[in-house]
Amino acid sequence: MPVWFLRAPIDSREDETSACALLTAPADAPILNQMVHYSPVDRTFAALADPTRRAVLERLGQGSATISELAEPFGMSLTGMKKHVRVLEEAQLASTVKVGRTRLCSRGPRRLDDVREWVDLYRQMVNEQLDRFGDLLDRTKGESR
Amino acid sequence: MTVDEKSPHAVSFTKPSDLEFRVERTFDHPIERVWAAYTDPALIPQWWGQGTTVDRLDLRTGGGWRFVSNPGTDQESAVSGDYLEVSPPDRLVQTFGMEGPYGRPFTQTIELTRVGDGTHLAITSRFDTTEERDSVVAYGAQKGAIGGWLRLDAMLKRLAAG
Repeated sequence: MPVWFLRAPIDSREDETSACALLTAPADAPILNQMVHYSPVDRTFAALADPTRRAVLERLGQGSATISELAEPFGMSLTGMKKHVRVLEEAQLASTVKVGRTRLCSRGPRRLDDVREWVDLYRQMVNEQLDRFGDLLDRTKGESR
Repeated sequence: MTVDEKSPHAVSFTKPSDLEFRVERTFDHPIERVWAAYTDPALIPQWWGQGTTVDRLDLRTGGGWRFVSNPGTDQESAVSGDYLEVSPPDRLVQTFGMEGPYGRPFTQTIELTRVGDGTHLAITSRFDTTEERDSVVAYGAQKGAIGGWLRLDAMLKRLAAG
């Protein structure tokens, strides 16, 4: 079983788990299978697709913060921010730990290497196409004149 | 000055006139530190984001500034302007221009006010036309301020910890 499939059973999570899944799951995915079909890179991109979560991620890059420190500037409820943080957690971009009555969020173990890999592959593909097009232009130079 | 008593750290976003928008929030840090965050070339890169470096910062009325984001990459971009009024630690007026085909510079008035041991920070951006204001607002000025100030707050926290 791949590591990313391992997650706490739903019933051990707090009540926002289902709402959190709704934030990221594709609309047509059968509920039971959504985690099975969701690869780590999908989760990373889903986590990054939201400007609030990108801002939170950039903030966590500078050090730990409590949920309320993150929520208040956005004028957001604690519950609302917890949902965003949970999406980041599931993508392993954030991790949280309960300290007394507050929840402290930190940068997670993943460092967007999967995003870089995807972008690098895409750029390589596009560059190869452009090179081939360039070669074609070189070979046909003057033929149409 | 608009402060929400219940959540003073919430970012307020308002349009005081047809030509302006204003973002403001309170920080639990002294006014001198918040002033430094905007005027000390050693501190700007610590919170501005996108690997920003300070190319120029001549802090005096008539002086100028230039920050470069994502330097040395194909995403490199720069913002720059002139200082119109420098009154530490509570008032900084500057022009703010995005270099490249992004419209004319606008004027930013940065106002700091002591609130207990903390600081209320308000930035009013004024444009020549409503259309220019609206395009900068649509570009994400509000979310940009929230995110930038989250990082600023993190830096102030680090400075306070020594």
